[in-house]
Amino acid sequence: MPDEKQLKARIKKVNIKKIKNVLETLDGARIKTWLNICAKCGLCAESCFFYLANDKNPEFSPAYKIKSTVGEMYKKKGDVSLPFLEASMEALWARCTMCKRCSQFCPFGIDIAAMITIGRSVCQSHGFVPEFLAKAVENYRVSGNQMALTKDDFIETCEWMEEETADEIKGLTIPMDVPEVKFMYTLNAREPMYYPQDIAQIAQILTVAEESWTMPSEGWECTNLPMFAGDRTLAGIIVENMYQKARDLKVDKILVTECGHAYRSTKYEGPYLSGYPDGIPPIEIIHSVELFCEYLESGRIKIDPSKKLKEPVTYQDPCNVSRNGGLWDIGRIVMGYLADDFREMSPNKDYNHCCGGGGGYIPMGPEYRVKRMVSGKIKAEQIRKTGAKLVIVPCHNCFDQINDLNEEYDLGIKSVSIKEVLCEIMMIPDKFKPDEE
Amino acid sequence: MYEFLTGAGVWIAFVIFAGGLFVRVASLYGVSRQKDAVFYNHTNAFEAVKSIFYWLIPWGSIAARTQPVFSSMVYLFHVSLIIVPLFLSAHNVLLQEAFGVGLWSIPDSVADIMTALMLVAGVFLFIRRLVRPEVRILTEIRDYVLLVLTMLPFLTGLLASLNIGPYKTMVILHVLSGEILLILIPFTKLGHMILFFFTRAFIGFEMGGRRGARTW
Amino acid sequence: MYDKILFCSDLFVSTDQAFLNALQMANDSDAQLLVFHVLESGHRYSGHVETYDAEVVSDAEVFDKIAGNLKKYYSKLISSNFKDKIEIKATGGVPIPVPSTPDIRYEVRGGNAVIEILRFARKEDIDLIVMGSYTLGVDDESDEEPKVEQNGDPKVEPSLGSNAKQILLSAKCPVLIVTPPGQRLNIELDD
Repeated sequence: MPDEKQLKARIKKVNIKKIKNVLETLDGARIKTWLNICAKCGLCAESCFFYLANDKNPEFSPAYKIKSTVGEMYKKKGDVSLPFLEASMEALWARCTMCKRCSQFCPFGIDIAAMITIGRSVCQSHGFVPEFLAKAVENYRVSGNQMALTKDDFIETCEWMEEETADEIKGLTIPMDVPEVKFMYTLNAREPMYYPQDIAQIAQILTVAEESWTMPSEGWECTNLPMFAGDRTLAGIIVENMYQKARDLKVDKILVTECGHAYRSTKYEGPYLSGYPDGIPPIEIIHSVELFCEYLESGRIKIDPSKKLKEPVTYQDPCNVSRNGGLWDIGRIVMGYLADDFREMSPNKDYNHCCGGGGGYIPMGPEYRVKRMVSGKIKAEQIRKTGAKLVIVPCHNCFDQINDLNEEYDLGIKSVSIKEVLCEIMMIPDKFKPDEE
Repeated sequence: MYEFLTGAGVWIAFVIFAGGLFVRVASLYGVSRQKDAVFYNHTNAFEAVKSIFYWLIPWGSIAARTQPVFSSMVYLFHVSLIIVPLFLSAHNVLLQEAFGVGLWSIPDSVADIMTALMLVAGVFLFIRRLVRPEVRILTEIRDYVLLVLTMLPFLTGLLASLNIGPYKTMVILHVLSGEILLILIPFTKLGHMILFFFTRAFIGFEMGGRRGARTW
Repeated sequence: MYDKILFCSDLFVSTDQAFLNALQMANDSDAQLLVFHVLESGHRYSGHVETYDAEVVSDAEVFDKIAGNLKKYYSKLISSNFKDKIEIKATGGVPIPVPSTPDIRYEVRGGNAVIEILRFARKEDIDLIVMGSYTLGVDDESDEEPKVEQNGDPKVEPSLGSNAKQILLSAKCPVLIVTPPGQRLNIELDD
């Protein structure tokens, strides 16, 4: 149930003009065409894990989710009711993670996720956003990151991790705001907040690879929940903060942590959101998986053969790294270096199912947990069938979701990030080994 | 009546059909240049062709393989829908008489079989709409109407060709329903006969070109 | 001996003894005592702290309120316990002087308990961390129900909570774990 504060945030009376304005701004030739030519063949239904996991309830099929929300909004030219917006909110957030799998199943290649975005923007304009997601967006607004961490908190956490890790890797530093280096590392705010060891891990890897890199004191947040909350303006500002910091530091590339939607946002949608006319980010964007692959192939990072993973391992293709990021083969090259017994899920690669935590679903919090667990059934079964004991996950969203699924469906697995595995099994060259005392 | 339908009626139908489609595509192009200009930076002919090609060949797409019976029916339906009217000898005779040129023709027996198959497929699609919940929930009255309207010229043509029922009435109905269908194409979802290529090309750019992901 | 002592409160009465010990040590060393509580977040994405059942959503206001409550509670505990209980139980009957205004600071944060305690300890340059031995009496990693004694009192088997374990093994300073007298484990050696 939404609390009072949230209800207060909602607009009491539908402002048709406002909705119309949102609809018209976003109404390109694509939308006009898509809404009109949908042949209503229903092929998209079978692509959608929400549909499959919810007993093939037709209301969960992608085409219906559009027809009943965005389709109606355009049809009625914005003249919709509050209960309609409430119902749309449910369909647009609780029944879609914008994974884009349905676009692969549509004969016309209709980009349903792009239309979901429009629906979310309309709902957002009237305060109809899942409560926790709205709060996270508020954090971005005040602090530039989703956890409302202050600049000092962030810098202190990096210093802390530098101290912690100095025992393991000699000479390890976490450079802060160093200009003209190769990579500016950007991360997910939950790393400094809940998993500071992630910062320690990336520092270990980059140190051992003798990389030229820096942590930025600002603009380090690469996640973009406003993008999933329908707040396009704020989403553009968040991305621009990062680009601007990279320009200020004059770095070559932005390196994105193991996070799915962060990569989608910084590389693909960010330039649209922050209004780059060519639609291309001003600075090259690299996902951690790509860099790890490069290190392993070039030998800058070597795996200790005695430590290579022996237990069965599977790889979760995060939608926004694989299908919407194009990195599924890269992920598999990395797996080849890490694990002896690598097993594929089915379907996989660009056809992979979303874990059920994407598109802002995990940040929607406990209020939606039960639904998230129901819809995650498909992923849970996929994992169980592989017989893997370890699921390697280059995405924070998937990581949380798979951990939750593990509990819910008793999968008996552990999910880990690539950097965690790398830190455990990579060889540490002598010069980085701590001095014997 | 017959004279009008086969004379001015044909002209009117073809002008609305071609003109309507042209205007629709041109206006969409105009809007896209204005509002979706950014996407033109990602055009990629090869990916567009791939995206279209895999959906034109039978069972070329993952979705088609997921529902093989349905996709076979759709394929039969569309292939007949294009081939029969274009290459029917009776149509080409008319063209020959009017303009002195005609297309190559398929044997009438083949045309009859294809038409029959198309009608079977059409009935299948109609029933599928009624039976499968995920399709029924999307379907509106006009979707049934359009499907029936699409089949009508073929049904009447086949009946006329096989001399079943009053010939003259069948021919009039055939021409009339054919003209209605042509006129409707630019203004309904049937516009996908052209727009299919554009939307497929777009998703080819976005998913195939920028990410290398399969869109089929 | 110590300048700053950190007492981690889990809001359960069972850690009262640990608090009294911490206070006593702070008093002995003329150290500042920091009472710290972490509102554990059930989910780690939005950066907001909420209970597992999503009933409470906390923000700065809630943190201040909880800090205020902690202060009230422990002030009362000091006044009611110090003269009798602590002298007898914790010091074996030797009376110790209590400063009229002990130097105590109360802080509340949201997040993951282990991370926040370690982060806070580093930031404040803490010399000693004092904690109770367990939280609800149930090992976080097992599903066992708390054991109930025959007389009906919910007496729980003491165990080292996973947070205490983690802090014990990760902290840069000494860590003191205190089990309250009434709940100590009988000496049983595994074969």
